[in-house]
Amino acid sequence: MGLSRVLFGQLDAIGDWGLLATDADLTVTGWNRWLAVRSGVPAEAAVGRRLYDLFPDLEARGLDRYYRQALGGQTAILSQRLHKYVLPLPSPAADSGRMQQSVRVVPLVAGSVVEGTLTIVEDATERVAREADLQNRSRQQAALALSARSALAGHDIAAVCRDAVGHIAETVGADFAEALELQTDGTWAALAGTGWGPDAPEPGARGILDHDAEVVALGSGARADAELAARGVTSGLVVRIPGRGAKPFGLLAVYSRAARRFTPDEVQFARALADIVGTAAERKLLEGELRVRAEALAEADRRKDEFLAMLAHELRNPLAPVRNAVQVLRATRADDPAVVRHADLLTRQIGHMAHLVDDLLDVSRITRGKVDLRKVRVDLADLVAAAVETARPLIEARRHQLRVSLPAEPVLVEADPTRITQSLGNILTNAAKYTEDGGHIWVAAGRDGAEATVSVRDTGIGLSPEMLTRVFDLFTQESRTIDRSQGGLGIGLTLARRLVEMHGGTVRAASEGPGRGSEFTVRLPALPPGADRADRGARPEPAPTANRRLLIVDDNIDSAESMAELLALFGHNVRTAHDGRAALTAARDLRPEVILLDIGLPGLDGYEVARRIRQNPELHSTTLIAMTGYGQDEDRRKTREAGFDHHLVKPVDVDELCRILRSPPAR
Amino acid sequence: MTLSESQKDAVTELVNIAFSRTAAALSELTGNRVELNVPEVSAHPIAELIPALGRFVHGEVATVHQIFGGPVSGDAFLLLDIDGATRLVSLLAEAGAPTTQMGESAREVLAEVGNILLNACLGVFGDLLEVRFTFAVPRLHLDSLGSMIDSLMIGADEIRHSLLIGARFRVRGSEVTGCMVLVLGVTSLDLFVAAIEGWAERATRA
Repeated sequence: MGLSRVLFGQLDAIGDWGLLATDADLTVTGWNRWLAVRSGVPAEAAVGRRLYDLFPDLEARGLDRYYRQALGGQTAILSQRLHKYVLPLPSPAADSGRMQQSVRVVPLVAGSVVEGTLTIVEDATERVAREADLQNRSRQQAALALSARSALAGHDIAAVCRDAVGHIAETVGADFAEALELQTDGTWAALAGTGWGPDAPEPGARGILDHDAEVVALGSGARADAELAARGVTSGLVVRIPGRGAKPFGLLAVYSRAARRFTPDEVQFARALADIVGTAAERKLLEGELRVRAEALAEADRRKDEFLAMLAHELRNPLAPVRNAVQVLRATRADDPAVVRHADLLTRQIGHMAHLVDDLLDVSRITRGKVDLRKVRVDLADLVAAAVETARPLIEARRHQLRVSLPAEPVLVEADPTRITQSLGNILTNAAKYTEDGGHIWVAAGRDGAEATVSVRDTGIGLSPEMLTRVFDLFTQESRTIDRSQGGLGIGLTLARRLVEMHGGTVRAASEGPGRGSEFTVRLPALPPGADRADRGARPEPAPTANRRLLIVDDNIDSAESMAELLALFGHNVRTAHDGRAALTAARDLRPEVILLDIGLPGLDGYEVARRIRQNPELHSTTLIAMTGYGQDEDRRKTREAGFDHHLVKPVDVDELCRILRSPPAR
Repeated sequence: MTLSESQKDAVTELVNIAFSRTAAALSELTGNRVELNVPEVSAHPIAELIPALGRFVHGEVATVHQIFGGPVSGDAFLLLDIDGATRLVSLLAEAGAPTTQMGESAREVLAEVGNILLNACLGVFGDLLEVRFTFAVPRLHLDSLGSMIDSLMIGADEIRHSLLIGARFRVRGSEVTGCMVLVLGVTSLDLFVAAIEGWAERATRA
């Protein structure tokens, strides 16, 4: 033999392997104990027999080639991957099957002559199982990662289920897989399935997963239902997809035609996958709920804005007749000091209320994006002076010391004077309101580079750091630390900032803390020094007052009558009408020089009345003045198109009306 | 040394015969059709081997190394870059990628494939040249090209030459590029070339 007994023994001793030696005729000359134990064939029974007699299928499986190769002097490696086994030995694992082997067939060479072969057999069963296990786990992990990615990407739940079903079928190596959703009536609806072909089983009555069970293994205990059985399913694994509370969202299942058991690893994998699907479903559900809630909030917000606009509008209407009545009282009873005093009080309070209502209306317009700016070139000092005037009544009432410092040179800004005056007025009013009686207020206007600045500082209650960030929020007020309520709606500063921001400017609040006073600084883009004050043309002098024939049309009888009485006091000849048709009749009879016409009339509205008046040649020269609660550009355009000459916003400013009446007729 | 044109033709012809048997062995093993392109043959001093190898493999390489002995002795290498080796192993056995952390199975598959290719090739050389080779058990290395070549130069007491056989083959439509290198001492190379010339002469006469 080519291998001495001593060497064979030494080789046997150094490794846990099977050794099979043959001579050049492939007759077995060596058979170690390892082989004897695993094959059940003792050495005495093996030695002396021909290899192919001992293992007849070696030739049939083409493995004789490797022996020929060895006899030709070459070593042959036989990988377990390409040849599961070489010698048919029973598997050492509990289940049946063959031992997985990795084998070398080595030529036994003496001098340069091959005298035989030595086959070295290693048991690779455990290694193969371990590697397969590792590979399965890495496949499972990859599948979980992909499913998690699909869930995180926010795909709809059916797409996430399609991915999950594909992954579980492929990774576990099953024939079918499906994801079902539990319906409110307790039946199942298919979300995704694979392997069924065009003939997917009806999921409606799938009774395979009790609601309380987490995992069910079909084939051991539970049985496939008729639908599944009809498709040859004999084993399967069903896991619950968690849902809200005790009720599952659905189930994830894999099925095989062949009877098989699922390893704990595979069960774990399926549950992890189901958890991902459950999480994705929950997330989708939450997203949906959030969207509905956001839509409801937006809708509520829009209704609130509309309500505010309506409220402000409705509050404003009654103010006009009250103001008129006060003016009538004051004019007719000017000799009674008590009447004059009370009339002044009423005027102030009406002014205050009108201011609040205007603020409210403005805020609602701004939030709905319905404010138009009429920008002109204007000196900052004029704006500050106008703002001081609006706040002066309150400042004086509270006996504050006011100091105003204005720049020596004009600082021109491109701004809507009404709106900026309103902003600065609100800030000043705020300072007056939140400073104890007899406090100090400083107003300083100037230029800071390319910006016009106005700062308003006071010795008032100041602002906490937390309040500094919220002071401009709508309906926010500093907590009422002073004994009495300061009144107001908490919209003055919101409005001030929004109006300034619409001009491209900023408003900042600063305070060293409660009780330390506060300072508000307004910054607006300024025109370069020396810019022309082009927009400030001289106003035409008003013409002398003429007594005019007037018709006042308003369905609010108080409003119409009080205005008529007031204008009659100024020497005008006034008649009233309270709806469109009466207005047309009165216009034909009276031939008024001026008609004050409310737009929101019952029956024929103000536009229609104006159009018909314009069609009457006898009334061609009549001046038409619209009175309306709406003052947007769009509203002005509509009155102009209907034939009006002027557009006054309610409550009508009597001074402005008088100016129109004094001016020459428009036509 | 360089090979003369006629020597190169003779070697190419010989390698062609050897490779066709190699392809047949691979086909038989895997049950897949294996197509081989005509191999490119060149001879280089070992110090100049790396640039020449660069035409076929780059960077990390999987090398099956088999030492052979007899009248002509030396080292035979099958080199595949890791990409090619990965593709080959997955095509043949789906055993996963043969990386430095690769499983025993993937390494074994690569060793067996290398063993089949080298044995088929050297076996044909032996038969046709009537030279008897003996072989050691092949070993698989996963190294950079440089360190593999360095290991050949260390301890060499004579100038060694290499016969580079570049090959491209396709398995199941995927191309795998690799090369086979025979490193021989001067004496062995002379004997090898002489044997080839003798064979070519015999073949021509026949």
